[in-house]
Amino acid sequence: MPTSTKDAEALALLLRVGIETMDAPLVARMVAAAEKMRAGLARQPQDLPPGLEPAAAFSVKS
Amino acid sequence: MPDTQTTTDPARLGIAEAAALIARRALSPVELTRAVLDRIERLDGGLHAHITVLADQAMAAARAAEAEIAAKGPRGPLHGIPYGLKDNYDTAGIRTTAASRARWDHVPSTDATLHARLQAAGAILIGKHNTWEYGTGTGELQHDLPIPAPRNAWNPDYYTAGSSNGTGVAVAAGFCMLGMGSDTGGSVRSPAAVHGLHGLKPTYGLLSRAGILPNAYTLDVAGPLTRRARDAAIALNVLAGHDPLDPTSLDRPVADHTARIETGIRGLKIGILRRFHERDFPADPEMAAAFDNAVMVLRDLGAAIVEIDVPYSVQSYRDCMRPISSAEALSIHGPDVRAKFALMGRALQEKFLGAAAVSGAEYVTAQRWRRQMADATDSAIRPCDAVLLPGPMTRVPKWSDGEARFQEYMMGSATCVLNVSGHPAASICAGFDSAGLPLALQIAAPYLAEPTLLRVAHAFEEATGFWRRLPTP
Repeated sequence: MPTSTKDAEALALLLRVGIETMDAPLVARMVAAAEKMRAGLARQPQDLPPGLEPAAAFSVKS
Repeated sequence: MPDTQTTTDPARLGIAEAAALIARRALSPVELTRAVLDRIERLDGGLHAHITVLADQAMAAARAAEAEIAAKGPRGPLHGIPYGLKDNYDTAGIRTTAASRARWDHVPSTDATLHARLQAAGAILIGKHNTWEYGTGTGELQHDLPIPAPRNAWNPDYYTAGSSNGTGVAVAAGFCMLGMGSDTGGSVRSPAAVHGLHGLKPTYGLLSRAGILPNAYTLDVAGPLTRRARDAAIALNVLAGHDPLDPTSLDRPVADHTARIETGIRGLKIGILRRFHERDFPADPEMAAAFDNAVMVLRDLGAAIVEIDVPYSVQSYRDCMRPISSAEALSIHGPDVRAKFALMGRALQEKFLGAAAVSGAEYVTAQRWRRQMADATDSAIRPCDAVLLPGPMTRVPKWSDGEARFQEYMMGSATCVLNVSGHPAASICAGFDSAGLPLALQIAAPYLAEPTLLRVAHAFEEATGFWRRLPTP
């Protein structure tokens, strides 16, 4: 059983990718990996203009 | 001690030199292939560049090439030239493992397009190269894979970066003259950097990725590792061109990448981009000195030097790229994650675990932010013929320095900038540090300006001669 909210969230994320486990070390790794990713995501800009569409983000335009 | 190129070993030649000798029948593909196989036999037990060596197949191909060249002359400059592939390139009937237990027995039924093009040009496949698992990573110590990590050809006590690490070792060690890698955030240029090679990440869409195990669809680019720019130009003339099997493949005429490579850079406008190593990251003083030296070399060659800037830090480019590469990888490899997670190494597992934390909205935001960054980067690069910027901003670590230092080396690098923007960029050897390991910089260029990029790199390489130094033995 999850012992904290973080563990519960980690279990939900593991389920989301199709890993059904209650393995405590793996849950702990999921918590750590999610925290690391969220630290980077927290630096995403929150004020991008609505007209900025992603369609041309990676295509070469010359 | 490393030495300049005074060897008579044909395996130590570059493509241009070997092709010239083959064309005038002064070197046979059999002799050349035997020479590289001898070096692999002698040295690769300690370097671990290969997952698969195709000795018998290579010798058979070399004999066929020799007979054809004797009868009709070479098909082109790659006829009889030894090459190797990162083991994420599909090779029909030949195991393609991506260095993973999860794919250890995978034998494709078709060839990657670029492999097929090299075969059609008469090049000789020597082997499949070691790599970080699935061709991805951020500098983690991947010690739990089914094959040991490659060792640096300059000094096996030093790091090999990644992810095309076996390919970097193989080209530097004289196991092939052309190595094909793949680059999502620097995976061609970083292994080239630690080996003093020319590692080219072309414009996104110039080279087909069909048949290469994908990592992140919107970032992945295939690219050659060679001794120098001239060799990359020769290879690019064979490799480039539209491929209907790759939906991102550009459908446009292919430039001749060698035609003007000798014409010098007098009058070219070269942008100098300093912010990454002077404002964003505490660069090693030896790397910074190599950068300043390179500026002087380019100025002395007659280039018009202009200082340029971009409005984003290297950390911002990385923050933008990471959720994109992670989420796309999880989407691509979800079936493997569900079925084979336990077979994967810890670093790859961590990547997929982190990817699970990226929401759909965050992925889209990252791509929108990326568009802003790509436009701003293009605004800085487009007015120039080429741009000099750092690659890795610290010196090559020792294996004994440990994982945190490897991650600093990989993350303290400006290679990701050009994956976010899609511009072409090459790693070039910019000298050697006080430990005798190569220092490297990047030359970038406007979209599809590879001929100019290679021309600048070639002029720099010829002026400095750094490329001529080879690891020994």
